[in-house]
Amino acid sequence: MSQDGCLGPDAGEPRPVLIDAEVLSNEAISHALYETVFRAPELALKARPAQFIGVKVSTGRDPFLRRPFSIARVDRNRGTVGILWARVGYGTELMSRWRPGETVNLLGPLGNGFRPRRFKHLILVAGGTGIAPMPFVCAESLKENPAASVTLLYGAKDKNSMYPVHRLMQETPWLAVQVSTEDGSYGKKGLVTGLLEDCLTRVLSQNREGDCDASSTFVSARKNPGDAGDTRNEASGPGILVFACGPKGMLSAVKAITTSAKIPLYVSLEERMACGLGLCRGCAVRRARGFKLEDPLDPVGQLGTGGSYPGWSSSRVGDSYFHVCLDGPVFSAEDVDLEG
Amino acid sequence: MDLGVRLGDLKLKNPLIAASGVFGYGKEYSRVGDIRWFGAVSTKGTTLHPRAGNPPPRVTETPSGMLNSIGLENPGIEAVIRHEIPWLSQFGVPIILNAAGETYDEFAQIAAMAEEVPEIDAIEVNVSCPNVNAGGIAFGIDPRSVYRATRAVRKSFSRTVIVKLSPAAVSIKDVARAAEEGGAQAVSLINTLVGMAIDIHSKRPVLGNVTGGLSGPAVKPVALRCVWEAAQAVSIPIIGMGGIVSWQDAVEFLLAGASALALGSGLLVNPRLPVEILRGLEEYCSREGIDRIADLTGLAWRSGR
Ligand SMILES: Cc1cc2nc3c(=O)[nH]c(=O)nc-3n(C[C@H](O)[C@H](O)[C@H](O)COP(=O)(O)OP(=O)(O)OC[C@H]3O[C@@H](n4cnc5c(N)ncnc54)[C@H](O)[C@@H]3O)c2cc1C
Ligand SMILES: Cc1cc2nc3c(=O)[nH]c(=O)nc-3n(C[C@H](O)[C@H](O)[C@H](O)COP(=O)(O)O)c2cc1C
Ligand code: FES
Repeated sequence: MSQDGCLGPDAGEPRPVLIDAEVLSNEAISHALYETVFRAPELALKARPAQFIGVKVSTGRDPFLRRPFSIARVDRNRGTVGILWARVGYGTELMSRWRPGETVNLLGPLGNGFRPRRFKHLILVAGGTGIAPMPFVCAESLKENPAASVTLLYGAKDKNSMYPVHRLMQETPWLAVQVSTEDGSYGKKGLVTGLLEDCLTRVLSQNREGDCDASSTFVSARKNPGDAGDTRNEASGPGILVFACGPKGMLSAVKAITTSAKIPLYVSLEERMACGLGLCRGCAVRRARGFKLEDPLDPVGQLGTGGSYPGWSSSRVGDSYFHVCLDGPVFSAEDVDLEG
Repeated sequence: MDLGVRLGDLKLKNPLIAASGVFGYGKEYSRVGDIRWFGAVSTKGTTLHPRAGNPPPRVTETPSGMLNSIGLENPGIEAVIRHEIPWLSQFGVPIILNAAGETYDEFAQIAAMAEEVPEIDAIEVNVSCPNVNAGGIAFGIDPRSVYRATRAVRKSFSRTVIVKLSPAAVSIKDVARAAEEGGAQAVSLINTLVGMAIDIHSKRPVLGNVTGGLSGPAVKPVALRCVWEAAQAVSIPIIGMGGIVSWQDAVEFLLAGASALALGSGLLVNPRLPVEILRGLEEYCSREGIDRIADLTGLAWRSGR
């Protein structure tokens, strides 16, 4: 293991597997969302929250490429993996016709994932299908911080297109959930960013009454993604951490809010993909201006992968892009350009 | 069953090559596959200077295929020699450096640098990339510039020279002959065809670069025709590619005149493809009573069958 690019690509991470998985169930759970559960024990064991899988929608040449989907839930005891998805085009149209008992080829787990380490308040922000990774993220959110609080802010179009949030509240009883809909048919009327502003005001004022100011201590120690969860932050005490998944416009609005509140934000990004493996360099996302990787081998604490912007990647040298499948899908928001 | 094939001085233990651009420099692939499955590997198109690549989106699905406009994102020849080749050479699989120059002089410079690195067994002269403004496909459609680019590399590089051709050439036979006359010991074809897709919701082209290269099963009939024509026009071996996703596809390319086969987009979908194809090829040959895979080459047109 050296820094000359000869570091093995795994750096201790589990390798993705290619498996034929049985469809156990496949059903519409709202007007906008389907849920599919696969029997995939190997995948269930390896998966981390916010990772994704490459789904070969059907055998044969058409559709040709795998479709990327976040891992929505994992049951390691039963050996099952679930995805939550919206029917938006050709591939997902075919997926809506899957029947239990069918076999589907899956590749994964892919991407870095998100395993928050040190925080006092974790705020999860989901917009639309951005809810997909959240059940898994919620289920594992307290693994390393049993005493922390976790809030899910969820914005949907209307009541009928929502993920049934009561399920989440049953599965993860420690979770506080707030919902907004654009037409006000459920929860607060408006956008999820409105919920976030309210939530931050509340949490920050609670913190101010306590013994620390999370907003400033957490941020001042940060320099690059490698520092996000390093020991300096641990020493600086509790903090607020935001993780957001949803359309780019929403992520960009969330970033504006967290930036002015000086709160660290992690975002899960989507980009069109061909391989999901780092082979094709197709899933490029522009780096934030001025981004400098000071030490490419620095472990990235919050992502929990021990090196999420991998130093071995040949994409490191002299370019201005990250690759969502290789470096993400989860990024520290300040590292990426969300405007483009 | 002898799966070995020859490309000039280069001996491959089996005819399957990882195509340029779907394999990076091997590290990512090694997480899901074994580099030793291949008879040889072709690197990502490598330029004299680092290239950031094109703005996203860079890939999109099309009927039975895909478009890409990666734009030769690569760290440049110097970094490749220093950081990638040493790692890749540990597998003992022949390394083909896919080289993309913007000028004849750049081709010569890349070749001269590669000459100093014995682990680089061959150069694949990329005169067919559709996703860059300078060089690329502009070289590949004209026999004279194919000749000059080949010459430029040949003069500076003493090991195997392969020229990768574009299906956009007016005459495949002419560009293949130009490569042979320029000193190539093999030609690869095809590179991608230029295409585009439009998003009906945004009413804009899907790809950030507007156009991209079409690959996958959709291009197979075109690729097969190109291999068929080139194989009968030159006496050097052909590396056939374009939409190979099964052993049956592989057999077709061999029969059309290919000596070796490269796996491109098919590998992006199924990293285990080489294993499946090799198994199928062996079974086919034993059913057909063929001892050497090389005997299949050009059977579809060779006289005396
Ligand atoms: C890392 C990652 C995780 C994802 N997780 C989920 C998830 O959990 N649930 C979910 O519903 N969707 C998710 N997506 C998006 C999902 O992959 C696309 O909706 C799906 O590929 C569309 O396939 P299709 O054949 O139905 O659409 P197509 O007919 O190919 O295209 C229809 C529409 O889908 C969009 N689209 C197509 N391909 C992609 C792609 N690769 N990425 C993003 N958008 C695309 C296009 O913008 C287009 O408007 C994720 C994407 C990525 C990159
Ligand atoms: C994502 C992608 C990137 C590619 N990059 C290169 C490249 O850098 N140099 C090159 O010569 N060909 C490149 N190609 C072309 C392939 O090597 C191959 O010639 C073509 O895709 C046809 O084969 P296929 O249908 O099996 O993919 C690329 C193809 C794809 C799909
Ligand atoms: S999708 Fe191929 S590199 Fe990310």
